[in-house]
Amino acid sequence: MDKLNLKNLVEKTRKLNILYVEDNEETRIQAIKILSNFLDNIDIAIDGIDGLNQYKEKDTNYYDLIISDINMPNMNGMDMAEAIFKINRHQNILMITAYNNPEYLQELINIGIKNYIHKPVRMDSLINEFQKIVDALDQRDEEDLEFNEITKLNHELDALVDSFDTYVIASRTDLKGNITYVSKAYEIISGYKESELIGKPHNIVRHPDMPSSAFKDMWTTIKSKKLWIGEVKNLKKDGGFYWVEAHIVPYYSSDGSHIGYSAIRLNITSKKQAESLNDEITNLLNNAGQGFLSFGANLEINESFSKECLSIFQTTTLYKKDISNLLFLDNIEKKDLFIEGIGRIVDSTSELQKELFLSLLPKEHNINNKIIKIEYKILNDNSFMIVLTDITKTKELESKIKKQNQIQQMIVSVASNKIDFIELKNDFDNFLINPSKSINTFQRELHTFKGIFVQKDMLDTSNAIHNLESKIKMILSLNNESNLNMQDLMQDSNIKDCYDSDLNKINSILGNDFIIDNNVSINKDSFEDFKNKLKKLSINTENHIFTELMNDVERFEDETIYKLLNGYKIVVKNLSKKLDKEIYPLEIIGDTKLKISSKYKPFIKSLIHVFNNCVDHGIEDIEGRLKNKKDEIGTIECSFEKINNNLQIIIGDDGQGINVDKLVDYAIKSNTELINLKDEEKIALIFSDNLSTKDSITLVSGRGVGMNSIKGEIDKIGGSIKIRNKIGYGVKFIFTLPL
Amino acid sequence: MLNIMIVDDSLIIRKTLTTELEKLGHHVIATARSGKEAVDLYGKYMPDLVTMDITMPVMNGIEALKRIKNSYSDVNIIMVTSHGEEKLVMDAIVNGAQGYILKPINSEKLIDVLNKIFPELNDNL
Repeated sequence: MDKLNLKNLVEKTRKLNILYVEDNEETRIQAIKILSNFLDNIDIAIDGIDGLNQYKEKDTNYYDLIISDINMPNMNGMDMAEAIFKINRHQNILMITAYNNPEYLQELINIGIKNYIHKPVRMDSLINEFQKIVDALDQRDEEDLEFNEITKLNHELDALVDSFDTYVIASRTDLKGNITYVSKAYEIISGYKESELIGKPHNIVRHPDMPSSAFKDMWTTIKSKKLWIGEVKNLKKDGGFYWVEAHIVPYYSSDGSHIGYSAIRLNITSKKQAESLNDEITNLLNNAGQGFLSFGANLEINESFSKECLSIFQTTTLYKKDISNLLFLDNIEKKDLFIEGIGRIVDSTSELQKELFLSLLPKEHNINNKIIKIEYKILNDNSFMIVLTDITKTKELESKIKKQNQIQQMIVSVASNKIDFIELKNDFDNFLINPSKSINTFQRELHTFKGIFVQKDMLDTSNAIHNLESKIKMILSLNNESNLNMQDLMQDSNIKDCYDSDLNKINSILGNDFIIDNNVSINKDSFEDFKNKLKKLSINTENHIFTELMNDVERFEDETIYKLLNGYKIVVKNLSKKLDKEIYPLEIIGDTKLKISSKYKPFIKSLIHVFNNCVDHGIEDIEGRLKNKKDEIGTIECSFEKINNNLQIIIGDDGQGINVDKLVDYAIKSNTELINLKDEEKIALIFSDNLSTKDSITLVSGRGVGMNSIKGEIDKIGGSIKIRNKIGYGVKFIFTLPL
Repeated sequence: MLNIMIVDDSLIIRKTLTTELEKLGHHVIATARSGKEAVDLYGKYMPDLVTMDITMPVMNGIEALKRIKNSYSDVNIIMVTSHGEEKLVMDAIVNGAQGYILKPINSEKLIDVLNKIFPELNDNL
């Protein structure tokens, strides 16, 4: 044996556990000297009994080798070996014998000892023996390893079979479909015991919901020896159900003959339940009559949406389309607002801000001729949901009711201030026949009329005017130097028709006389009818405006001066609103029971021009008033009093007063003699024809005809006018009428 | 109870807001007619809340909001707004407005927006 091999051998022998049994102390010492070249762990026994006892104290496999003498007192080596073999049949024992006797050797072999060496022990034969033992041990280790592998595999297989049985819903049937095997899992899910299933036809678990056609397909497939996969609803013993995905294949015996069918199944009950829930929800959403969809921060619509969306947008697909285009294609403003709002929500980190932005998004839009209510929800930072509801019918109903209310409102507005209305009617009739030649003036007057018609709730007319205004704007934007014919324009816009239609509605309720007769008169029956309607309105709506009007209307019947002047309360209120001026409600101060002759009525009516002037020219706008350190709300006062045989009416305001110089400037343009007038005389110019200090003419005042008509009326009844004018502080008109 | 400053160029709106806020138990400590006045008055009164109109002469509400916010970062401002001003309101919110109220003003809307900004108001009732 070369050195390298010896070294390898010793490396291995040093790890061995050895029991050395020898009765002769001298031999023992000698032997240990030699053995310690090879061995580190040597236990010493002095005879067979000692050896056996030591062997028993250790684990059965502890000693890799027992080296023993044969002839020993108490128990010899042969007897000890026999006893040890009873404990461990495979124990390696090396006998050291002095005899070279074949019978003796035979006895050794009979006992089972394969290895022996002769005394005196030679190094080479010892090495040889160690080599054999080490080789044998190596081989045994390998075998052990192999054995362990196989054991492990067996365990795994057992576990697999176990788990197959526990977790896989498996069964076999014979060719006719009678059950021959079921797994534990099959028992558990079906609720049947194995004994209740074996021998029974497999349709014991067939659920009545399953159509027979499904099984026809299955039998055709497996009879042609192919794999059939399908989802099957099965019936439990307790009447419940479970869903499985079944895989069924033909089953062959070990000799290859077709003896039945084998099936494994996956439990898909949860999946099926989820699907059915999903179906239910989808069904619900599809039939809710509302459109549901979601979209991302990039405004692209996500994959799932309710069917109603398709009908709202009249399209066949929505996936990946831009929601802003679908909703607001025809309205850039809303589209911009929507896009900006969504962007701001995505950018914001504050929940409060997100909510605020969300609430500012467009809430309603006309999509494909339907009015759609749009509600928004934030699903997460990058996704939004919208709910679309067709509210066309609700809106139609609302607008119908609104329209009816509007007609009533119009009647009330018109009837409650007849003077205003008649003036408006006269002006507009005139405007229709003889519209301004200048397009600018025409536009401006049109606009003023629109405002007044809105005020009077004559909405058909105001809408028609609005449409005409838009039309003119469009025409002008296309062609600056266009030669427009105002009459044709009005004809095209049906303004006259709408106006007539509004007038007809007024006629039908208030009677034709109301419109035609310039004097305050109304057919008694119509008036009663109107009063009743107003009474109903004031009761039903509990609106104080109606109640106030009711009181006013009731006073129509009296011919008191108070009543006649009272109508100007609304004139002042409406006009200040229209001109955007803040004025305290007009108060009429005087004896409410004082009656006057109807001959004063034309004069009282002409006073509208005084009130118009006060509101339009007298009271400044808020900035003007604040600059002059006045109450930001203007005051117009009206009082009357019987003094001796005269009636004195005072109308005044706390406005800027009449700019006399300007008045004179205007006046002398037409009459140069006026330049020498005294101040008191100058102010009287206000009553001249066609004179106004206002640079531009509006419908309300400034056309220079108003004050002149007052002068005409008061002259007829022999009265007089005084004007107290204080620049910056206001003006007072004092009328004195003989009673 | 909150000390409130109302900023609006319209007298009607100032009056309506004052009436409604006082009905709710709050105190209108100051009113301003323009953004500029609001900026000038804020430091003097240090109100708990400012109601700010958007469209005003001299200085609009958003500019005023920015200036007040610049000097007093913890100011509480709500915008008073009309239909069609949605984008401006968004601007205001980005610049620190905590809420808005859409005209016409009524007490429900006011309670709603105040409760969002001052949840403790609810507890005191």
